[in-house]
Amino acid sequence: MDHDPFLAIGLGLAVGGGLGVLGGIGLGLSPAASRITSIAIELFRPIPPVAVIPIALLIYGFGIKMEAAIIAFTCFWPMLLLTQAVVSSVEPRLIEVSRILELSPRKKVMSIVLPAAAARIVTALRLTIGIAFIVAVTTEIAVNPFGLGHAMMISQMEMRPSFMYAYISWLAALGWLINTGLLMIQRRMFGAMGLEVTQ
Amino acid sequence: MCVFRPFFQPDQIEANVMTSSSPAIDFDRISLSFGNRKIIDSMSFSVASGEFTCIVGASGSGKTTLLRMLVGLITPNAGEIRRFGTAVTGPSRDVAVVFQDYGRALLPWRTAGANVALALEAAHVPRDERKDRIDHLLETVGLKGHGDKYPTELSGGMQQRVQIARCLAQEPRILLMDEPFGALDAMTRQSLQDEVLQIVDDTGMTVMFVTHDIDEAIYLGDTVIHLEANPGRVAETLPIDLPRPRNQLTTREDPEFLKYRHVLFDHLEGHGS
Repeated sequence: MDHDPFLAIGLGLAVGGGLGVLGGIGLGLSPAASRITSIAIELFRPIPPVAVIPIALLIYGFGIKMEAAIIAFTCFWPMLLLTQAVVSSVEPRLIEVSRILELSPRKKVMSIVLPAAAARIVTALRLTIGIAFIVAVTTEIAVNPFGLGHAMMISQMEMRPSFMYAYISWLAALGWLINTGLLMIQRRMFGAMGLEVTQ
Repeated sequence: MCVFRPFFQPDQIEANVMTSSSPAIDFDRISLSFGNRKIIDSMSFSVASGEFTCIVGASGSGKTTLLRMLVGLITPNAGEIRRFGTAVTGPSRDVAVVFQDYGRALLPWRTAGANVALALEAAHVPRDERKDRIDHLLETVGLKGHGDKYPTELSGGMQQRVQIARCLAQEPRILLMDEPFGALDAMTRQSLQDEVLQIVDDTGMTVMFVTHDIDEAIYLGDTVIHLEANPGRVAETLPIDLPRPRNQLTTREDPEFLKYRHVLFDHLEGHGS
């Protein structure tokens, strides 16, 4: 069955993006940790996501899991680095306030770091989803016989351009829908003030 | 009748007296360098419990650094800082800090009331007790009815009041103020000076107040410590013997006030550059 890349993107983003945000918060708050991990990060990050396809294929075979794994790998790096940058630039005065009030690490993250960084983490998410979308369709075109990208290629080979254009339009609509949805969430959650907070 | 008196009792009494009389703040030969630059050189002074101490000095004399060490945000290279006889190892809720840059020290996504609540949350005050205490604290700093406003909706003076309320919510024994009124206009500044004096009088906190304004230092303080720059060290400790409660007009017109002003001004001139 053909499927929208929605599910694979959602799954990959939840896993890869989630881990990236968690790791980014840790690295952003601890200069020592970010120094220790920086070499490893610079080693693994430049691997093109498409180059992970063979590995994912070996582990998961054809199907949505394989695609989601590749998307997770894709999303992890930008979310990790962007979150780290955002968190390490949280107003130092607020970090001092959290130390003076002796906030627990959890309370510090929930009450100071995340609210201060949230608006920009959502922006990072928007950028990352764009990349995830590209990688999802590429993976489907290249290897995943169950994807929309694959169906699109088949239509082209079967000389049915009307279907091909329909698929392309649908993909474009999906991309637009995701971005608009996120923008709406961002505005709703942070409003005019949220954008100020991120300055 | 023979009254049995264990021989160790006098010692114990003496020990008790010693702890209760140990100074609130005690700097014991403190030195601090950043790289090759010596910021503070063998600084010693102590502040008694309940005393209001003002720190004045030229920029670069380590006024703010001194406060940061006292909080435990920076560790000195040599010497020991003690608060109520205990060596400082890090920040403690017992010590509150009012920063000059209220705009950065407040959480802009929280209302004034919720900003004050942060200190109560930190102290694990039960949720149902918080509201009353917040209302009371906001009233203390003259912000009654402004609890639902965001910091950006408040004037500079009001934002600073929110920060003071948050510090009071910590119920600190020591209150540190780092040029808290430096960014405010003269009128707001004067009323906040009097309000802080009132609050300190009510709570009996030990206060250390950094300012570059000599008049402010004399007006507020029981003691003014004048720091010299490069490297920072205590140049002079001046006890201020002016009657309390102080008054913006009469205190500032007091011949004694002018005398103190004169002395400090001469010193700052002499050492400042």
